[in-house]
Amino acid sequence: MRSQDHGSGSNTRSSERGSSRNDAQDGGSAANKRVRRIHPLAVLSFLAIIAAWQASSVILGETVGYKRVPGIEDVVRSFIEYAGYWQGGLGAESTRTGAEPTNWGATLGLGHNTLVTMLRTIAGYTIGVVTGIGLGFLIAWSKTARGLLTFPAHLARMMPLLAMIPLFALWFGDSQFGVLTFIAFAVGILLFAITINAIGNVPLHYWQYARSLGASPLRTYARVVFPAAFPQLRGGLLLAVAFSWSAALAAEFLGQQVGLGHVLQSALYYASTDVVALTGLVVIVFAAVTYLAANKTLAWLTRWAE
Amino acid sequence: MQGVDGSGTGSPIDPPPAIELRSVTKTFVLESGEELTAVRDASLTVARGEFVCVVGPSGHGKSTLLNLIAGFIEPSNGEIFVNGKPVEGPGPDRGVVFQRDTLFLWRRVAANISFGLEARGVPKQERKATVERYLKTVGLEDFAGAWPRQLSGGMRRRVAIAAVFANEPDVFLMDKPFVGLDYLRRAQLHKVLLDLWAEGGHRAVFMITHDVDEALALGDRILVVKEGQIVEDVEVALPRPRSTYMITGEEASIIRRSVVLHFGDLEIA
Repeated sequence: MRSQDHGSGSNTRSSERGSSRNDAQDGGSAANKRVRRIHPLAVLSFLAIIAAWQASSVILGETVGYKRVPGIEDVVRSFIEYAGYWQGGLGAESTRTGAEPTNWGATLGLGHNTLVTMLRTIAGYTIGVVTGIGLGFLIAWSKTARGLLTFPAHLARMMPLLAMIPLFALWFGDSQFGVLTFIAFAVGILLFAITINAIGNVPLHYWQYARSLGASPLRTYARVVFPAAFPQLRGGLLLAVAFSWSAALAAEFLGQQVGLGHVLQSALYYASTDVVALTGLVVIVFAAVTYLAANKTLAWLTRWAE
Repeated sequence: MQGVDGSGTGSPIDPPPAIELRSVTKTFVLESGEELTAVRDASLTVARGEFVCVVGPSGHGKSTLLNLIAGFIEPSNGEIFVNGKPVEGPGPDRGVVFQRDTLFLWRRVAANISFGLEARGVPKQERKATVERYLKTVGLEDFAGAWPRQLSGGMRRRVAIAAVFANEPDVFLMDKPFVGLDYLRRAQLHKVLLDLWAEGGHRAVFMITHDVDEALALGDRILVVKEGQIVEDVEVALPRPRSTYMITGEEASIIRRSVVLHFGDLEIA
């Protein structure tokens, strides 16, 4: 229809235009019709988990001086413990000075520790992504880099990550730098391997086509090979979000004075399984939020992909 | 001037041919260690502005020949010149339309067409005007902002052809560009291609096809490549524009027979 007000081109060409417009519209309306519904079985499995949790808390009870499985009410009640992780200020004094723990103090304690861990996670993730992908491209680009870096990089990939924590602790002490380096290492090494694989899968004809249009090797790399490989990095970039949270908690567990990993470490010391559970839930929520944000961003960045 | 820059053909004032192959051989070493000669002692001259179609059985070296001229692979023996200059790797003087879809999926239609212009540092205003002109020629001016995935197969082919023509190469290399399209779409694209070719004036086209009728509709010459050699070189002296009547007429039938017989005298049930 639309093509008729055009006039240019043959009728058949116009009809091709029209039909593909309709195709696009069909696709659009189909997407609009898609409504997210929670599956009844998902509700059922959620309720089953809650029930199993509460049941195991009752059955296992307080057997060894602490609760192996805290009940749901214990976890809710343990929120106040977070007041102990607030250094004071903003209308809530530190419990270390003898002040009574308050809900406001607990809110600040939870908020502060969560914020610190999240910022570390995001910073470490970003550094790791840039380094890992950059190194992957460098190795695919330069024969010298390939010769120099392939072996050490693969060696680093083979190292068990958790076993590296003491090494990082010894190297960087309890510094911020050590935590960020550790997260970046965990993320970077994962993305490095995925990047090399993704570049290897970029069809040769893209390279040939770009070069025959006059693009320099560098331009071809930046404007063609990188975007062509990008959708394949998507899975790795999402996986690395969960990875970076784990790495952040692990790094904080050993030798940080603030952060959710530090809270977990103290909770272990006091055998507070309720605080561990609450912290775990907080991590799940924030990890899910960052995952969804990353997923949305990546979906937008690859909206062109077929 | 061009006569002394390497090709050595013709007098100093004659422009060099668009494509010149001198005794070109290409041998591949297979994984098994065996050698496979894909192109054997091929010599060829394509004049500026000439439209050459290449036919022949599959796997007999047509694409290898094109890849050699494009500079994607190097000859084992012999020399290749484009506009008198020896071929050393791919370059914007030779535009290539591949059989496979090469559109950059992450660039919108207009950005696909301007890729080569950007790469060659053409100023923005000029780029915009060129892109608009070529979008109009291929009838896709309404789709400048579309992603390739939103286009049909025929439209994507048109974008690919426009992108290569917009870059204004001297030589246009096409490897079975219309495979998989129905008769009507192909006929439309033939017209687009011939319009662009006529507009370009001096551009030579070297196009591989499986379809002898397509070669008859488009070519000034038809080359038959068999077992890595150019075994036939026929002139198609039909006037342009060519109608269906013309390419199924008596003169065309004689050419068709001389071409098809190289495929072997097949006994069809």
